[in-house]
Amino acid sequence: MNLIKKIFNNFDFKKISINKLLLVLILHFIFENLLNLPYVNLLRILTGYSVFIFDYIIIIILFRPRKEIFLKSGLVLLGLGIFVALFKLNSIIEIIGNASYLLILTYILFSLRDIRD
Amino acid sequence: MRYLRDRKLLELFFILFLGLTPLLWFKGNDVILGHDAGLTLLPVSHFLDRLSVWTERFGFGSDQTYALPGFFIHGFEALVASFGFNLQNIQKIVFIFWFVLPGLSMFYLGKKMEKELSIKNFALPASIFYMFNHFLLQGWFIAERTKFSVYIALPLVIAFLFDWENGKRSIFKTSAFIALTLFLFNGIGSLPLFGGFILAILTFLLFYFIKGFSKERIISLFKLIFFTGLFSLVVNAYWLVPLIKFVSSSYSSVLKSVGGIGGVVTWIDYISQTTSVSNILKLQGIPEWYQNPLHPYSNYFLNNPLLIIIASLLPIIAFLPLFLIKDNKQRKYILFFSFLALVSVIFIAGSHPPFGTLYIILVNFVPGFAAFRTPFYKFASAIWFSYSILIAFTISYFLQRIEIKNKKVSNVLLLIFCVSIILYSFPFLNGSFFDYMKGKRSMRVDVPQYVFDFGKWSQSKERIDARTLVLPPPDAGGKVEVYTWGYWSLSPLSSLLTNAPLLNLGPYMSDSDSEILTTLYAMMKNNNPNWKNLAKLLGIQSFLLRKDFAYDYEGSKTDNPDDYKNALSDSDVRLVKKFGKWEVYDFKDKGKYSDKISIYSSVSNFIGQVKDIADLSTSEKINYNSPLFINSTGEEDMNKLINKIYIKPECINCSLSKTYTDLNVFTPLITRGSFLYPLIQFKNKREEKKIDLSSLDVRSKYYLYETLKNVLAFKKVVDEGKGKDIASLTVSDYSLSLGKLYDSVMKYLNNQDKDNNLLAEIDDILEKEKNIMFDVYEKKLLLENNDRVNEDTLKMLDNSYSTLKNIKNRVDNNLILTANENEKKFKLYSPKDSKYNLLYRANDQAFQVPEAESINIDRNKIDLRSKPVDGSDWYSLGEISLSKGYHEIDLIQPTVNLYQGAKSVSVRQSPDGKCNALMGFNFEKGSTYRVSFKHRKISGSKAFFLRVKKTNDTDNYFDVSGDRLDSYYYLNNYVNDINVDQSGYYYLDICDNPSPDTSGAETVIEIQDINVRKLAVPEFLFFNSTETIASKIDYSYVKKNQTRYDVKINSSVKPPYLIVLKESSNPNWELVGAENKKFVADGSFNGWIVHSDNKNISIVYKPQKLITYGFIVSFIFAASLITALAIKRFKK
Repeated sequence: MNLIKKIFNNFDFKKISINKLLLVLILHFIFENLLNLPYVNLLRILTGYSVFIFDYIIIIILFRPRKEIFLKSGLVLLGLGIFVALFKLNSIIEIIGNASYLLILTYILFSLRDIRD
Repeated sequence: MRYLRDRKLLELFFILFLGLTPLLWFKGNDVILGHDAGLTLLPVSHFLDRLSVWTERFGFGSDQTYALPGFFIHGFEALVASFGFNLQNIQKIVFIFWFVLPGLSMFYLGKKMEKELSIKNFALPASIFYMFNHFLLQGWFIAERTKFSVYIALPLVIAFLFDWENGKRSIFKTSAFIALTLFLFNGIGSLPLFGGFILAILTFLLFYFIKGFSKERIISLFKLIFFTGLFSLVVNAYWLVPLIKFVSSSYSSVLKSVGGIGGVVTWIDYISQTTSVSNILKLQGIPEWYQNPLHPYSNYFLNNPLLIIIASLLPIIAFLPLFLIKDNKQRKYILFFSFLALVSVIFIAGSHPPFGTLYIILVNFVPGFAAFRTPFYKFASAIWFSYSILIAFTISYFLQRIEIKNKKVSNVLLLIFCVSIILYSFPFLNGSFFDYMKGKRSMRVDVPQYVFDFGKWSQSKERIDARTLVLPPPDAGGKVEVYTWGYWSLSPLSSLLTNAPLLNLGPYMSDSDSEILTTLYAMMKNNNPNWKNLAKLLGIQSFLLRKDFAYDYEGSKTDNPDDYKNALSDSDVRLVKKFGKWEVYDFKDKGKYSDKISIYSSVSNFIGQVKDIADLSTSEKINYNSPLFINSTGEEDMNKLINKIYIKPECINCSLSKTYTDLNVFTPLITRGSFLYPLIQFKNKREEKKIDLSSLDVRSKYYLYETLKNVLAFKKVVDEGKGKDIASLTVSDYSLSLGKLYDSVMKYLNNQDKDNNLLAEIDDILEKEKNIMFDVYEKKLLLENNDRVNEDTLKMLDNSYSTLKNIKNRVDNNLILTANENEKKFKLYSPKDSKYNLLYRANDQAFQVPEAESINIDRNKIDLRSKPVDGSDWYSLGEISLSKGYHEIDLIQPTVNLYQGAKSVSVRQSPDGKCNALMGFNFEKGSTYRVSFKHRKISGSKAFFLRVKKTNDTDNYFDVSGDRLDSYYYLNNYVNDINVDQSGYYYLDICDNPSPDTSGAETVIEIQDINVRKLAVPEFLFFNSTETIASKIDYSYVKKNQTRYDVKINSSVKPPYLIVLKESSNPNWELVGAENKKFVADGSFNGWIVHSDNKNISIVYKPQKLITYGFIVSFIFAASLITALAIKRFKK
């Protein structure tokens, strides 16, 4: 645990973005395997997308994108969804729906501080 | 003209005008009726009936506390009806009311927001979208007023909360407004209907705390919650208190009726198949759209490219304000509604990925959450509510920018938007949504006049108390009522037509009542002359024959009305009146049997099950001088009054049915070796402490399932290869639990009163454990020859097996269970030493009852002479003496082969797909038939199937049903049991399916030794031959209303004596005015033993008083609140 903390504390996240990508890949690999361990794999039951959700959180932490990007991406994805829906590609529609949902929800969660009086 | 310039009024008029849409839905004389609508044919009397918590409209009477909150919904319908409109006009007015109110409530919220945010063109589109949408469209097909009720309340309550938060309204006023809103729009107190409403309130609370978290805000909120809760509780007291009591006592039984949590989860999985996030965001995924291939309009929305584009644009339009609007004040609202929309998706989706597991966890672990068993319909109101506001924000944003340049264009565009919203829900414009199975079923029906005529007549003073059996019954499976003129529903039409006690098999009936009625129907159909006895026992004095009943409707076939003609031609029955295709018959004598209240000086004791009461009436004339008391095994009070005993022994597993235990349910998730195992041990210890170990049967049952879990844990440990030590510890657990089981079972077996069912259960589970042990040994330890267990473990396993065998042998010695087709076992209890007359019937028409019966009672052979009893299928076997206590009967009744054909038959493959019928058989409903034969394939390689076919079933070459007959040159045995749910002629067909023939030769199969026999359940009936003459009691009674009867005893009577109320037994029925003790009479009715000689007695349904007080409190408090608010307003 201390070792992990040490790595995180000493890592210069802002400076080298290639390192960030690398870290994302490594963490993805670690989570992928971690979630296969007995009992930890119960998390997979919660949602089949658990690895991607971890990736998503790591990306947000490392890259700290502006919140508007989430909203714009969500809306653009919904726009793309129109064409996919016309061709009735149901599995893709479902993925687009989930992704745009997650993006817009992220935007709203990041915007909640705006509502403080 | 001044009014026309007032924009707000103009918009209001437009909404009111749109509220007239329901006028487009009615054609000719059609009214909306059937399915789940609950729309009644006589609104006034229906409403009056609902003011009582006891109704006679269902079965033998039932509690209708659940109906109280419908006061305003049905009260409004009754109010409209009281003006003398015809039914269609009543429905038009009622529908307009419910159609316009969502628009108005949203208009109220919209206008508030317009003012608060200084925006325009907002309220109108929001209101129209809230009125015209697919969520309401789906609700309107059954005119779901309860759902609309909560839907109307939602914008109002949110508006009140916003006002309070913005400091525009005091806590008192806000609480009063919310309470009054929920007083009028209470969603009939159905928690699940409040799913979307609850989400909106929780979102409000979350945002409230995010906006500012301080002590003052928390106190202020608590005050609001307290006053709102208090006011709501008092204004709704008339239904809330009794309903809470009713729900708390019935929740578990309701949950059980839908299959428990497992059943709920299965249903949620089914209903959530199409509720993907993308569908919900597009405001689609409505389960009915995809599950009903004959849905009247879903096809357009799922396939038309233009409508697909519009649906896909909806989420973009809804979430666009997040991007477009930067004004901080507006953004707070936009974020609120966007958040609500997205949170609601999680719940609406139910068990659909990606959030499905979360929902299932909530169902499993949050008490009461299982009530939300149809997630889509319960939570979806929240997303439609949010979208109405969000879409209105988008429209308002664009129109405001256009208005700066050109006001007229802006107005025209507003109109276009509004019309587009309406057109997107175009089925509203012609009412096609009522035709919910296009071309097959519709809610729009033209009710024949004779139905109304009968309804009116049945409510006349002479007929209102006549208990009437409705013929024919609905189908036994679905209990669906279908009429040739279009009515289709699970609700009996009679319950919507009249308050008179019309008796019908319905889904609301208890199993025992259903079985008694089913027997009565069967007896009438077969014109068994004793049907009159049973009918009279049940207090039935009249019969309604419905010749317009669609008895041959696909999927819900039942008896032809003509089947009852013979019974109704009986000399004791007369035709009273004809109403079109409905005929009413009465018993000629209106004797005491038809009285609701009867008084007796003695009781007959019936040792048997409630459903077996019907058998009494088939055997001999029932003693009407005394009611039946079931299973008196020594109650002192009752024993004094017993003057006759009937005993119906139970035939133990005569149909040789096998019990099924789902072993997966008992397989532990966590076994030894897991770091979580100590938690499981802790949990098990707590459970063991909780059970009542002093009760030997509870204790035996507990340890029985502990042994099962432990042997399954051992199997799992070995399967997973967890190691020798862990396997050894697991076997040790098993051995320990078997030891405890041994101790408790041995003690239990020393008991006099042993529950045979429990012994059968122990025997069955131990047999399963034995098989599991063998399976583990054979598959894992022997075949794979691996080292998963050590020698000591195997020794321990051997010891455990010895203990298991020991328990099983001891249980088997005490167990009474039919083991084969010919030797039947019975168990009976005699409450005292007595001589009994014994009746017997074989229940197998093919079996010839021999003149001399050889029967073993308690393993002693008894020779009895058989003599047929006139007018029935019973045989009298003479007199027999039984001592007090339990007895066992062994009967040998050989099966009879119904197959009369050749001993050996060769069947060739059919070139045209036709099946080869072996023979036809007349099978009886409710019976089990065993089919067995030997078969071998002589040539060819095509597959043959055995299919049981009804007379009118047609052959389908591609039908894959039936049992495959796999054999090749050597003879294979085929045995199968057929449970018959509908009487009729059945064929045993040998069919070949279009399977490939690789050999090129013609396929021929040989069938030998065909045997088709009934697995009959023979019956015995004991009744003691002596009977004391009961003294007559002179009494009279007055029915004050359906919840109160006043009884006057005219003659002097020496207590104790008995009073019976022929209404369904319910603990809330009380006898007032005399010392008494309650019992269940005739298996279904309320009975009391009266110990004092008071002359004036009342029988009351207790909760009615509570409700009367509740009404007074609620309405006085509501009036006070309104007055207080009015005074405050006036002062202002």
